[in-house]
Amino acid sequence: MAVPIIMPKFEMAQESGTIARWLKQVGDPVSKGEAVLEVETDKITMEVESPADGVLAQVLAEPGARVPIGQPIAYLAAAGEPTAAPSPASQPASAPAGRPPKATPIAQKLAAEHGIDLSQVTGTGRDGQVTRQDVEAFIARHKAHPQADQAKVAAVPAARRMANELGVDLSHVAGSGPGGRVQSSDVARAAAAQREASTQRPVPAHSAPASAAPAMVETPEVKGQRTPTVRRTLPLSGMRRTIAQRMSQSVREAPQFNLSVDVDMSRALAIIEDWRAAQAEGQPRMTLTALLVKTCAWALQRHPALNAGFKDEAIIEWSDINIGVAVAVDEGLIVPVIHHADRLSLLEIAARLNDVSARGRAGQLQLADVQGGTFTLSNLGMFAVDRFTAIVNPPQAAILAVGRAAKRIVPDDQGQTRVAPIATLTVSADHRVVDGAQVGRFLSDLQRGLERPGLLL
Amino acid sequence: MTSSIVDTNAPVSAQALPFERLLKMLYEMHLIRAFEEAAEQQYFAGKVHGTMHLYIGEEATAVGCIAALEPGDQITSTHRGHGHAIAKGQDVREMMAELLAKRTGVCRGLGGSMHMADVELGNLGANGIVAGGMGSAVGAALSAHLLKTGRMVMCFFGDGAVSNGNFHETLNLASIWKLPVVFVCENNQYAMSMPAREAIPVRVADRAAAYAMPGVQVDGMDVLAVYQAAKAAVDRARAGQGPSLVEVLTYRYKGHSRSDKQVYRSKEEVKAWQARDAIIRFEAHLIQQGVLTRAQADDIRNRAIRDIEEAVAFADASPEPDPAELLNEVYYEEPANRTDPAMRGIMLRTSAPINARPLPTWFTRTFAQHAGSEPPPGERELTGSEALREAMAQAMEAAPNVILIGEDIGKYGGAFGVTLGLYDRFGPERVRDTPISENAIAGVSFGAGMTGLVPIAEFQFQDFVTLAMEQIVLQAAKVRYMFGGRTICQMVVRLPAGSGTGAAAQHSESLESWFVNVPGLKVVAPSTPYDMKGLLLAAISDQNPIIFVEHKLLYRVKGPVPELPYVVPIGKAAVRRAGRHVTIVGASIAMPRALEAAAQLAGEGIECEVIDLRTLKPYDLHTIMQSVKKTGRLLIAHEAPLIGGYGAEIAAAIAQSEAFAYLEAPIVRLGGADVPIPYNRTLERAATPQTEDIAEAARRLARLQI
Repeated sequence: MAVPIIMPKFEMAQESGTIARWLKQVGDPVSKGEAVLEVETDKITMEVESPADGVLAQVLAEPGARVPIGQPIAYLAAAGEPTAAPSPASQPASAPAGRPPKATPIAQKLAAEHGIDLSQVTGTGRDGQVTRQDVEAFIARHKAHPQADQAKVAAVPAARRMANELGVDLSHVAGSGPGGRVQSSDVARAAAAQREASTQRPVPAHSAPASAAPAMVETPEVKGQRTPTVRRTLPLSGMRRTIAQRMSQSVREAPQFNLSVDVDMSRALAIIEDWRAAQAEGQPRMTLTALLVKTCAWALQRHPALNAGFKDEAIIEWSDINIGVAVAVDEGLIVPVIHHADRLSLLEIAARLNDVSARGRAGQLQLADVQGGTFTLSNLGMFAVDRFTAIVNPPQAAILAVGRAAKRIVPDDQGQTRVAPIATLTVSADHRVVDGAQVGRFLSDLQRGLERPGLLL
Repeated sequence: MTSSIVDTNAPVSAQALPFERLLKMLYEMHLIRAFEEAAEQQYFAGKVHGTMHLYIGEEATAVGCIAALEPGDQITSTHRGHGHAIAKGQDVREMMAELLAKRTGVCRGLGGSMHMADVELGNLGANGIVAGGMGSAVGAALSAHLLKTGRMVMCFFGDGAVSNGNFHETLNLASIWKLPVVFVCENNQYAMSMPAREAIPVRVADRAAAYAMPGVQVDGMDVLAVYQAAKAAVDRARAGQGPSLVEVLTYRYKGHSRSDKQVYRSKEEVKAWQARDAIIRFEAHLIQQGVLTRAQADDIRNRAIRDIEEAVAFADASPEPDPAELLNEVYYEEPANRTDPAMRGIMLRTSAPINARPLPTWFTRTFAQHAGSEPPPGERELTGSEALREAMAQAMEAAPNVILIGEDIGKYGGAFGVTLGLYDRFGPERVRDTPISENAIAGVSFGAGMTGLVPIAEFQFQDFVTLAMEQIVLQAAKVRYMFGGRTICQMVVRLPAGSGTGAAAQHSESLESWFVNVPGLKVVAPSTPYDMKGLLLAAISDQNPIIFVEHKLLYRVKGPVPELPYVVPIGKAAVRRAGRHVTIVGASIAMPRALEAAAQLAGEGIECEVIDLRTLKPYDLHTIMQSVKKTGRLLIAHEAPLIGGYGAEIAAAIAQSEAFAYLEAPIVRLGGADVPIPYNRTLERAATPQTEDIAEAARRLARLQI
């Protein structure tokens, strides 16, 4: 009897996971609890363990495929059992989540249980609110027509025909046409990739038939064209998809304003230098970012209005101070969180930053590393960036953007000029949560804390 | 002063006619009345699908007038036409079956009460349009005149027609051309509810003076007086002295149609006319003259009633038409096509490949020596005008029944010089200049095209065809179908179309899409001199009315044209340029523009396949489908306005076809803006798709930017 391996759910709001890579190939023996594949979610990469002992009999989703929670992604067979498993209905693609619609609590619960993206459900309640019946109808419909979502992929008729002929799931094809529309050339490429993959391992359930690709209409190589040539089109990875969704949501929903202050970084930099000079080998490297986290935590203690968020039409002030730090990685950025930053020493903060940055770059962050942030810091001071504004990371109410500390001529107390490293700090805040005066007071304390670091002790 | 009722007590006018003729006339009057009374009963019984216009009271008009004709003569009739048909000798069984919409009906159940014409018998049309049959009467008279058949045409129309432009245009034409036609105004006092005395400020007969023909008024309740007046007019026409107008004063006892409550006249008025009933008077006259006895008179009436009862029984027992035959009679089909199941019924959208179609029979019959279908183009170059002229000249040379008709086509050579020299070569009888009477040009062509001539009508500008829509759309296009497929209408309407000449809003239109929407018409729009000749000869040879669209800017374009007569098949597209990236479909002026755009794009690496439709109906869907399957991209361009334009048909047909699944991008249409063509040169260009517009749209389509 074949045992399915399903796309597991790792996080509360998770709707789907993307196959990162298969650690076992079809035919490999696996034991219960052994890692079979890696799945990439919006935030992290997780290993999926085998639910039983047996042989990996069939793989239903290729790396890169996005699969809704609860869908089978592979079948295990008992050792010695033929490896042909029942061919499952092909997975409906989870369309990118749009703006979450209003839904009744029961509908939300039901949708969560079934891993349904509420934005895909048409609401028939008051003001288009999604009701329990709507979700039930959606579930029934998708049981009856598992292909239904395929129709929602924007694809030209020629691409649909070719996808049908070649057994390509359009929801896994990146479109190169206007607005991401899938052209037949995109399908042909996807089919070729499928074929290539299938030559390296037994044929998956819905890979291309052996026939040659049908004639694909050619797009001319255009000379002297006025519009830029597309070098490559990148389908959104889990991380980029999350960035796209959350930043768009933030800009769309949160009325944001920006306040800046220039900070004399002389003493702050001196402290970092002192630490570095005193540190022994093997100790965590002290950074200005660590000091910034420390100072933010200190200031947030005094201004709880900024350690806050906006959720479900309410302002939430958190008692924990968990500071997310934006870290650039190859594909984009991740925001590991320094939890309880207000209770940590500068050295502890530096140690944690070192740790999460390293693991983040290696793609080894755990879910807990990235959850629970209450405020975010983005420091681009290592680049030639004097000042910038960041986009609030919802549901948080504020984000701090830090530019480089550049030498500038400033007046001293006597009205004489002197040269000092000055950095511009900019807070972007959600006006639904805080107002200018509150942010102003917060910025004043930030400045005070950085210019007189002794206060942080 | 108008007079409506003549002396009520006068006896009928004695005529020296053989007894059997007189008795036949009496029988026909009874037969008409019995038919109409039975028709009314069928209507009451719910057996008649539509309405009807009863002739009761007017029997003497049809019988008296038609008695003056020879059997070979022809008539045109009206919506109240049952009486004319019976008097002309039509089979009342076929007529009753037609009324009951049966397959055995004179029009196979396709025409009904208003179209009971038996063309072979010489009834060229009962007509649902007031004054609508007058053009065809003059056309038939023109056929009689030019073909020297010795036939007469009698044109029946009501008092309502006298206020219509057709009346004036056709009486005028018949008079200046001295044609053998007798105009019979059946003045039954009311055009529906409008009294003639209020609608017409003079006696109808007096209007004849304006057209230099005799006009007489006669008592329509006296069949012998009617005969006498008609005979005089017929004799005059037969003697070559031209047309006459006979006004017959008569009365319909029943309402205009079955829904008429007759609020516009009094019961007393009806009774006063019934007191002078033509049948009673004629019977009394014949008894008084000793021609027959009362008992014999009753026998004649009873025989008529029995004949009608039999007709009703025949009609009742007849089958209804088969829906499978719905489309059979819309177009004349070549005999070879009729036997080929694949060709059965005209293929308006030819989605199957066009096999070698047989040459039109008229073409092979007419030209002893010809180059067949689509011969090699050869070396000789002609302009568009010259190619058209050569087609007409060769047809006229080979077939004496081909004539040209239009405004200023004679010595002047036509508004665009297309007919230059043909007047000198073929003379004024066959190159007929007309007054400014567009509807009559179309109507005369329609009637002539039904009766043996092959008229080629030229309109100075396509815009002016709006003045002839009634004769083209309501008459010529429908006549074959209305009459159950029992006639043809072989005519070509040449329309110089389009903008680009600075002639502004009323001389620059592109109206071809209108005609595509009319069942019964074929629409041809060539783009090269080669096609202009080949398609015009195909149009002349086609025994259907053809709308032939000539873009004015193409008249001066040169191209190779074979010297012998040849045809380009109607309904077959041409691939003007092969390509693999974008399909561009168009016709007429859009073609040179599309080809120029394609040449430009070739330099950019974009290869366009350019398809010239050549004919808009029927059209060659197959060729477009094949191309779209290859390129995945379809651009359609035409000068006519975009909204509701012809391109929409092509786009929709492709979207509904198997080629849909090959589309890589939305189908793109280019068409004229929703604007009257402006005078200013820059605005005029901007109003319609130009080469650069086609190039840009094709470029964007090729790059999948649309």
